[in-house]
Amino acid sequence: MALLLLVLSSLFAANDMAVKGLTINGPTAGSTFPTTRGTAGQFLKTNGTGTLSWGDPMVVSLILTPSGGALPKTSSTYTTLGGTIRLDVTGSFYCTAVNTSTIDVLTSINAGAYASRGQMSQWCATTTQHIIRIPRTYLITGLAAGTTIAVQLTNIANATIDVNDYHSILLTEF
Amino acid sequence: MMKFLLLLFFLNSYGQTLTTDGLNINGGVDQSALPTGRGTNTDVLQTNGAGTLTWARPIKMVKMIDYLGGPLPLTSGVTYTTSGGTIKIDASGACYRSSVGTTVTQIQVSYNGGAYTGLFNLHMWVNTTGSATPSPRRSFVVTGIATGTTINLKVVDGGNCSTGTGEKFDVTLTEF
Repeated sequence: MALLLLVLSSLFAANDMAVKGLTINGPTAGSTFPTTRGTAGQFLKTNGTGTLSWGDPMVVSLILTPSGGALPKTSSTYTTLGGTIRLDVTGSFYCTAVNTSTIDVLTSINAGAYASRGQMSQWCATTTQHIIRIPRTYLITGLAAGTTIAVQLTNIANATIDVNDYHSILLTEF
Repeated sequence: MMKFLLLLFFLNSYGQTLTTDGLNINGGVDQSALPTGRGTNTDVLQTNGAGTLTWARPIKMVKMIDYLGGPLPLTSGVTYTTSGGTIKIDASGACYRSSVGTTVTQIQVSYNGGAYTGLFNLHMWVNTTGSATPSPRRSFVVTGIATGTTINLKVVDGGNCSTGTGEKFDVTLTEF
């Protein structure tokens, strides 16, 4: 019998083996592999309780290419793989008076109405010059796979913007 | 006979779930051993390139300071517990200065509830008096952090950085 097992073991080591499902480390504390191939670029992840599934890699997308000109500006629409996304928003404005310039960053989920994710304000003390805004990062969690998202920048107060004032939005998905 | 037994095994196993204690795949110099534990939720498989697969944590992000106005100092509203390894901190902000010169904002870190120490600075030259000037965003990488280390961040005036509610600060932590 031992000789049989030895021979079988050597045969398995030298050949491919195909099974429909696979659980390693036993039925009570093991992990079960997915039964599908996943898609290109995906990786294996665990839920910690015995189920392995395909996960999606990080994606970076410039959804608003740096461009000058007046607000509002609307990004391209991005379809999420599900999970968490990060938005990095940058821009500038032209200061015409001593005051606070404010823009709003809004998102539209699945083509719904735009809702504010939080404003970006910048105090202006010196007139007639272009001022960069403090870059702001937004995190949006719990998105379902296939959710579409678009981002819009609007003028709330004193955001005089000309062709020299560029805005951009970088989206990163984890 | 051996081939017959092997064929029976394949016929029996295909279409059913195979359960095994431990598994090495590919064999020989290309062999990789799957981990024997389940890992924790969202862990991913990684290889050391020498035949061992282990569970690894995916990239995580947290807002430490979410675009808060001054005055400084500002302390992060959350304590982040790391999974060990490498973190990246992205920081941006602005200072008011009444005269021409350099402003400095310092990002400080506290590990495991210890004293805050300087981690990196944001510098900006202000050439117009009486203005609030943003500094360029800066990223800083910290490596070799032990699993379970807690991290708190603080933003302080590092020199000539006057701040009020109009000077905002934004700090994001990413763990790899």
